[in-house]
Amino acid sequence: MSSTALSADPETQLPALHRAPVFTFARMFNAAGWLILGLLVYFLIIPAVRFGNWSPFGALSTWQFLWVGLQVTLFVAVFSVVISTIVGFVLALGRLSNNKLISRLSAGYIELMRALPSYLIIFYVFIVFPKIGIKLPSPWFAIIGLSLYTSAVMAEIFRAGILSVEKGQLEAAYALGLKPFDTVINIILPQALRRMVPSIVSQLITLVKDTSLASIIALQELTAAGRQLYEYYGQTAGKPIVLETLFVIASIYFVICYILALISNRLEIKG
Amino acid sequence: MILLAEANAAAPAVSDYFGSAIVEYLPYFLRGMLMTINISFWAAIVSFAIGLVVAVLRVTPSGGLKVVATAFTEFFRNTPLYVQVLVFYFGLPKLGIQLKFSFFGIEVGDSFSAGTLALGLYTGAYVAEAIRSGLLAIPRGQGEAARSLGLSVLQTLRLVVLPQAIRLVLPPLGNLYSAMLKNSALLSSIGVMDLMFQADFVNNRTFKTFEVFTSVVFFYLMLTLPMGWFVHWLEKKYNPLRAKTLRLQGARI
Amino acid sequence: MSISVDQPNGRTPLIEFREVHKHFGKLHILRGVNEKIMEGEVIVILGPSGCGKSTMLRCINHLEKIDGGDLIVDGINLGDPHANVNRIRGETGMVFQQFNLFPHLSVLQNVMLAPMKVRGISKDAAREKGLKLLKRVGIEEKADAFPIQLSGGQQQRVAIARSLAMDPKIMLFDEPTSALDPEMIREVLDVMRGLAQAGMTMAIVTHEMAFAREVANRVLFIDGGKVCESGTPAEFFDNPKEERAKDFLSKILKH
Repeated sequence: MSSTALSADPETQLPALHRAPVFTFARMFNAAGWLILGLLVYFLIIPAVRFGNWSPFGALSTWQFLWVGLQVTLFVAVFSVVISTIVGFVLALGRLSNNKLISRLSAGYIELMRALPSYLIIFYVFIVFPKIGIKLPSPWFAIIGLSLYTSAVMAEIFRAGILSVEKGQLEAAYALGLKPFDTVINIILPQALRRMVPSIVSQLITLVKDTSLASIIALQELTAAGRQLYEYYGQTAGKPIVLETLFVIASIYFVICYILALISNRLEIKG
Repeated sequence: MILLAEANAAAPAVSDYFGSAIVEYLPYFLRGMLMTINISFWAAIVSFAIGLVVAVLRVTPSGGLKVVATAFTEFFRNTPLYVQVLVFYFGLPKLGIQLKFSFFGIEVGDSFSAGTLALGLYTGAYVAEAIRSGLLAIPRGQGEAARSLGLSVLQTLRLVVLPQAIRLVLPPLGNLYSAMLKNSALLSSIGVMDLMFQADFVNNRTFKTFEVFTSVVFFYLMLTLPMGWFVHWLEKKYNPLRAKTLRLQGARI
Repeated sequence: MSISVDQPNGRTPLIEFREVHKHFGKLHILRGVNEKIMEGEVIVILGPSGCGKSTMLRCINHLEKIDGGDLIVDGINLGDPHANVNRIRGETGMVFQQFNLFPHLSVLQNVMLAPMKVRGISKDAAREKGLKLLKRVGIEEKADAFPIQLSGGQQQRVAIARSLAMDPKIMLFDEPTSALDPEMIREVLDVMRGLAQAGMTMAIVTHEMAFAREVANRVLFIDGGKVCESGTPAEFFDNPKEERAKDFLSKILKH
């Protein structure tokens, strides 16, 4: 290196060739990205806001109508989660049991439910149950259908969590004379639970979304309310609000699910 | 649904033993199964293409594209597939977007294309997340080594990083596609004549509800169980260590 | 089941192996073990790796099921499928090579758990007992720490206190110092020495020969799934009878 490099501002001393080029691939790529984002906003979002028929969403009655549907969605989701968690836990213990019969039966149930579309299971409950004489309010059909499926998934999450605990922990507990049930409650679950939280929450998100499947059949929940709203406006008011309504509905689901996802991330980072 | 009228007329023709309706209407079920496979296949292609592009965009240092890609995955993963299906089937025509088209002389119906798009984009968001996690799992040194050998950014991605990442995420991808095949069942609600649609149709014709839906369970198992076994095989092949340690550590209670 | 009492010194054996066999798949690990451990004895079990030393201990605690023969622990035959296994586990304390402390519980909670859940004693009594035991192993100041905050030697001492909390009739040590750094081995051995002097019945699998010689009443040499030689440390170390034992000692003592 020449002595000029010792001067206060070496960059001005370097030949032009050695300067970093202004138009690097990365910079152009970055600029293109922002340009695309801008175009999307300009051609999609701005027209949607300006030309969409948003006036029905200024009325309180619209929101009241949707709120009734959302309540059903939340009711079904909450009860399904509670039931599937309990049943799933029992199924997981069953599958891990040393009793061959219990283990096989639990495994059979879990594999069957996981191999079927949840839509089919819900459909089955709604269509076949009344035929064989079981009569319930439709939210409970939805809860049963969703729980049948979700409990199987929960069982697998619990099982994976239990299996992730080191074998030495189990041996130490047994060596102290703890019974299997005490071992699960005091040693395994506290360690496994933290690892299972992300999977449980992501299943919870799936569950909230899957409540909409019941609306295809008979359940009056959020998506059904939205559909009725835009069908009603389509018949009476003239200017259709199909996309507007679906956007609002989707956003409500999004807020619920995204909050759940954020909670899960927070717990995961802590753990 | 016009078929319903003639359906009722044909109902008495079914002789009355258990499973007779299934035997009689077997061709309908088989046609439904083929449609389920068909639409799953096209949706798989759409979702893989979308997922690959979005995953790469999410790990590139481009701010704008990252925002677009992140918004896409978050929105599609956190809203119900059914609502997305409604958007594509009832919403897009309101913007004047025509989904019925003919492709080299093959007529593609609007329910088929809307269904494929919705299912493909929904699954694509998950595929993107899976591939992204695979990309992030590849050690930085791999990319640096490739770049120092003189490979370009795209070559590094295509020849070094992506092949490793895809191998890593093959088992999760298998699970996603298995889930996608199951999700395709709800496309029957917009008139895609898949297994679920045919089941509903045969049920309305014969009123043998229990038999019809119980046999549909078996038809779906015939599709999903082999897929599950395939995923299991993939897991064993590409992640034998994890499978083994799980088995070894797995103390029974 | 019958328990022989015709011991030379008249005491009852606490543990008796009679033709005990154990397989792991195709591996035949224990091939007819016959042995008696008396109350108050300190036994050190030696032998080449893979000979079945650890398996012997794990069978006593029923962490492994025996496939043949009788194994009588404190009057209960573990060869009997209807045996009350949990009672035996409570009577036999086990200390593992990898400590196996419960990471989600504090040191004191680790010690308190089993007395409360298995023996059903009150929380206050368990706490009092736990603190006393932690003091005995010299670690009472860490009672509220979590296992991850302790050194290996400290963890192993907590593990010993945890086993002692069940008032076991016998303590089983499965290579308790093998996973420790050299400077921590001493503190664990000191605790074990203290236990032996207090009259605890102990069965120890270890590679610490000096410790074995000092503390043991009797040394068992296991090879090929059987007890090859049994004798006082002095007899065994200075004048081994079996060829295999001589061979083993010459390899070990070179180091």
